[in-house]
Amino acid sequence: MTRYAYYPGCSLEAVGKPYDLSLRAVFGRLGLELQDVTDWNCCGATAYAAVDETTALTLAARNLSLAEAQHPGTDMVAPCSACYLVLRKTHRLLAEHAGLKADVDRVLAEGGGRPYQGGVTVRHPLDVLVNDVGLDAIAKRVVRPLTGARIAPYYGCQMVRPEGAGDDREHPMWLDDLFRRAGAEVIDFSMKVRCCGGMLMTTAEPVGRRLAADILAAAVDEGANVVVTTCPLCQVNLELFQGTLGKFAGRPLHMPVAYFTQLLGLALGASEREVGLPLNVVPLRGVLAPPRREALHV
Amino acid sequence: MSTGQAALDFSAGLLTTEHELRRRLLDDVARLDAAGKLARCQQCGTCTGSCPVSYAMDITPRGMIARVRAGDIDSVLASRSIWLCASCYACTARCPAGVPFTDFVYALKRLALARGGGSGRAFTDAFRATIGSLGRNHEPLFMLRYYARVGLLGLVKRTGTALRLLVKRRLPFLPRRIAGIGELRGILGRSAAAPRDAAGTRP
Repeated sequence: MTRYAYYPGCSLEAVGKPYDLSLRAVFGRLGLELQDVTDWNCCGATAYAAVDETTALTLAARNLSLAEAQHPGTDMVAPCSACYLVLRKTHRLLAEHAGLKADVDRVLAEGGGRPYQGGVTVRHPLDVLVNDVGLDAIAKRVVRPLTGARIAPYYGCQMVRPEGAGDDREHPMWLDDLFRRAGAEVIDFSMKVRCCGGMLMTTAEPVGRRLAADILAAAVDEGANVVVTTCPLCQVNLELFQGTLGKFAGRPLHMPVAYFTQLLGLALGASEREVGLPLNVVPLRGVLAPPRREALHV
Repeated sequence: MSTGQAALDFSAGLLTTEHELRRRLLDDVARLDAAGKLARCQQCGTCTGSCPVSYAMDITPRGMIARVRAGDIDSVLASRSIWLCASCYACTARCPAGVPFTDFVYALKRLALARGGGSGRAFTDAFRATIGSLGRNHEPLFMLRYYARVGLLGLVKRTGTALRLLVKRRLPFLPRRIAGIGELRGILGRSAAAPRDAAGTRP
């Protein structure tokens, strides 16, 4: 069984709970084991970088150091795009800049922690699925093809750039390929790497609204019936404010927004409950064609 | 000294001139060699064209670099532009000269905060306080802290959203601390206890 250290990040304990549930369901069904990193802290996200560089890097490095000590030689899965970017970037910067690493290690040690040896590769679950498991292997495990789904694959920003794991930065295809193999129709989504607005929905609402509304409107206009996301902040921005965004756009912007692991989990035979679908605010009703009985008994 | 001296009264040492602002900014970005990369900017505007929020900025990304290089850091620090950057990295990914512009904006944010302000202060402080008390983010506490600073009306407007999440059990009630909070506070407290002095170094 392939093992991964697991850094869920703050969002997956709360607003991103469906992501946590569905990720575990997908990994479980594919025989991948997730081993929790104990006592992890906030990665620092984008906000801490505005406070102090060394502190922000040390916050992230403490998590890398914990994972390294608890699960040596194991890749660490970070499903939230912000965590993924921050942790990967920290790992890279510490490898490239010896002075920075000395500063960070000193602060870690002063706090009673362990210096980071540089041994953790941070992975996004999409990368693990596409490159470790492989699309062929996943296609073989699909028991409920996602017939009826017309997916807008929404990658967002921080998973693909600048610390992405090999997918194209301007026109990534991993989600597209994955869901075609899972039996869904995937639209050629024009907004796949546009910013959802991140924290602007809170700090500069008119600007944040416009970004999120543009993405939803494109999904509607380009014929999707569901958006899949890879990041909890994108999911919240696109799902939770649809009423406001519709008013802003001057037309209804109704669109289910699911984590990619939720739909993939269903395709792999997990129940709606297992993948946390009851926790979605906009229901996925009518997105998938009803399962064909004979297909389930092959 | 300029007549605007009083407005440039920093908590961590007194910075009075554009010259000092420049030195301090360059010190900050020097460790990642961002300054050297900044010098390669050819003012093509790919950053501004790629930025999804440049339409709402008072100074565009290309304009920020131009002003910094021309000796007008002050107006960039006072702009709303730096606080509109949502870290999407479109500029960084596309810059033909390899300028890590997103990281440069972080440095500008740090300098603006050190100078005491900017519209991003409330958000950053609220986030910082939440992580400092718990070790992890707790959305309700974070938002309470934030809206207590910028006006509770915003919180009222968010009630519907919060209730929808609550019904779906996607908001945690009770904040929990991580076990290593002491260690974490050691890390965080360090920057509060030992702010950069005027020379940009730490004791």
